[in-house]
Amino acid sequence: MLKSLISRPARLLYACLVLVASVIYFAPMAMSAPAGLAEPPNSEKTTSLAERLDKRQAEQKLDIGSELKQRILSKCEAAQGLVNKLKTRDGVIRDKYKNQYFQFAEKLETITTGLAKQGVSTSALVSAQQRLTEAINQYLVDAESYRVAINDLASISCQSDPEGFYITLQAARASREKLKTDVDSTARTVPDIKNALVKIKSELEQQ
Amino acid sequence: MDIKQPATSAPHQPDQPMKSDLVPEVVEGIPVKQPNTPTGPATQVNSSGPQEQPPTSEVEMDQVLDEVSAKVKSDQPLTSPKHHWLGRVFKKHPKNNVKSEPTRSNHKPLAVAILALAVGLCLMVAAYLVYKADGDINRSATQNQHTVRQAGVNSSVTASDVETLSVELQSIENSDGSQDFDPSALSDASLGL
Repeated sequence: MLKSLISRPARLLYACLVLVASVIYFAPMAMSAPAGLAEPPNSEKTTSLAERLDKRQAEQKLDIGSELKQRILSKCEAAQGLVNKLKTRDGVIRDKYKNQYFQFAEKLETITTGLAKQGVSTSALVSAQQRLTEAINQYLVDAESYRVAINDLASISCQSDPEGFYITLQAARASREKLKTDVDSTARTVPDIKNALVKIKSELEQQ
Repeated sequence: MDIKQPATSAPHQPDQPMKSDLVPEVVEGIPVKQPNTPTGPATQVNSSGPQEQPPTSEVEMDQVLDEVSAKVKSDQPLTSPKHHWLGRVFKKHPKNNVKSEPTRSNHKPLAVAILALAVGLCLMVAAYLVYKADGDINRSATQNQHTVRQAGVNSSVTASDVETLSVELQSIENSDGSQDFDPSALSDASLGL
């Protein structure tokens, strides 16, 4: 009934206003990266699916045989359903890591700056902090690559492009493997930071 | 108004009144149409003197009276108390409907457009206020963060602060990439390929 009462231009106007209001409302909520961390841009906005497929094909140089092609054609749609579920779960995990890294990097920066002002030696801490920052940045790059690959894998028309589906699957697998390595690499930087903090703590307690 | 009795009318019985006897009450105050007879008008309203010419016959007089009665009835057909409700139903409402329909159809898009603009303006104002409030919140959050940072810079960092940071590091150290990004989740077997 409401639709019949409101004309089409009015509905269009409503939609535009709601969109603008949403953008205005949610834009400031985006988390800004702390100093030293660089969040890569969304490559889905700057490249098309065809361009990304060409790039993956050039990187992998894969040639799937007829047997694999037939297997993909018969089972890829069911596989895409599973990929969709995995995509949702992975998005939550990626955000969890990102928030955790950002928050800690911010606090560490604050403490390091404060200690330097107090005249406390922070060279070991700053060195460990730099390795942590590099590890987090690598994680952010690989997380973005994985996000785009898994999105493409879920949305690509595998029946019309089985080769594209397969090379995208291979790209997603490689990015997922890198993510695992990045998380472990980031965790491996923590002991150095901890050791530096223990020394600083004892120094502060002696003052 | 006086209507002259025809001079040539035949005498009649008082106990049997003719139509012409009732005429003055019915046509009082209403002009009477003149019949087209070669002999001239049968009756004249407010006429007097030598111009007065009586109707030629009682039949003509009756015709005139019939016409007058018919005219009176056609002018006010539904004003009698008996048919007053009919007048409301059949006379006034159709006219109102005919007038009101185009009016509604003409004003409806305009009203909807005005309503849409009003609501749109409200939305824009609301969005601006929310944006402004968010800006204030963000500014205050940034100021707080800056204040905290300045506090960390200006005030001394204590051993307790360092200890707290070490505890928070534990969650990063305990993260397990093999579990959260298990490579087997995208294997052929997992995807059914």
